[in-house]
Amino acid sequence: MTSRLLQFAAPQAFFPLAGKLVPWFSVLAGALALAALYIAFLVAPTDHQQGESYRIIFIHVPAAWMSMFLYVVMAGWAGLGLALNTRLSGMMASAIAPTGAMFTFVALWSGALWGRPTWGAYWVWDARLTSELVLLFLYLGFIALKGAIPDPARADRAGAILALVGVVNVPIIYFSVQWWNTLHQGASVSLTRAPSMAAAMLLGMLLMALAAWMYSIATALCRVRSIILERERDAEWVRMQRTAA
Amino acid sequence: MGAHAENGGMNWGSLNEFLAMGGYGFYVWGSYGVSALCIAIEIWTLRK
Repeated sequence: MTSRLLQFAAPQAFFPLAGKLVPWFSVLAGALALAALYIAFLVAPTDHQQGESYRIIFIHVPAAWMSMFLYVVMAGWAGLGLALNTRLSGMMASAIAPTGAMFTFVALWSGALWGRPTWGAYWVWDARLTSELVLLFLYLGFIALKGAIPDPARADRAGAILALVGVVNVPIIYFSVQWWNTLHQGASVSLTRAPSMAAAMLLGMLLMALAAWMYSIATALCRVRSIILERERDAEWVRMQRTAA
Repeated sequence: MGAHAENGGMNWGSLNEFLAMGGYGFYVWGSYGVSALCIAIEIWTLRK
């Protein structure tokens, strides 16, 4: 079993597998997002304190979760590549970074548009907001660093070190609302406590988070395919792929 | 504006009411719109 799974660590074997998986995850992402939007706008009730502005939560919270989670996964792949010297790991880390940066931007943007009506300001230098902004810079730094080094093996190693050092920022983001007095509210959903929100709101948020997961898997697999083709362009199997297409 | 929320799950009386989002239209649609745009740009760059 393990050896059958490990064969996909070779870019050549992983390329067609990723190609087969992309449509499935794309369809799942679309269907889950539609269900989440239906609940977000047509089922979830108006919030008695915030009125309709709270509906930003269905974008903001899943995007923020994804931004942190994808960073950990990216650093995990990068670290695996550093430790085992597997080519595909560095490619996976590169494939995840743009989607992670996108979700970080969406979390910051939707947070700004939510902050204005609830706090009266688009931006404050609050610990939660600032550490999330640092996360965006870490993603962009990772992408820029890898792009600046022409040799892929060296780019993977340098990127991995940056990604692993930056991972310290993720618990800082997550616990910032407990460690410091922040304007940003504490966690609304936790594994140890009953959720502090209506069931429909929670369901919409979880569905959107699942959609974001499926979307991230689809985009990462799609992107890793083009990275594989680019890096292995001199390999025999890629040349055969090209003549076949 | 929140009064119609009680009549059985359906929150909106009309399309205009839906778009107005109880006065928060700019913030709500600004969030959803830019998020959709980001996703569209990412998918577009992947398709190339």
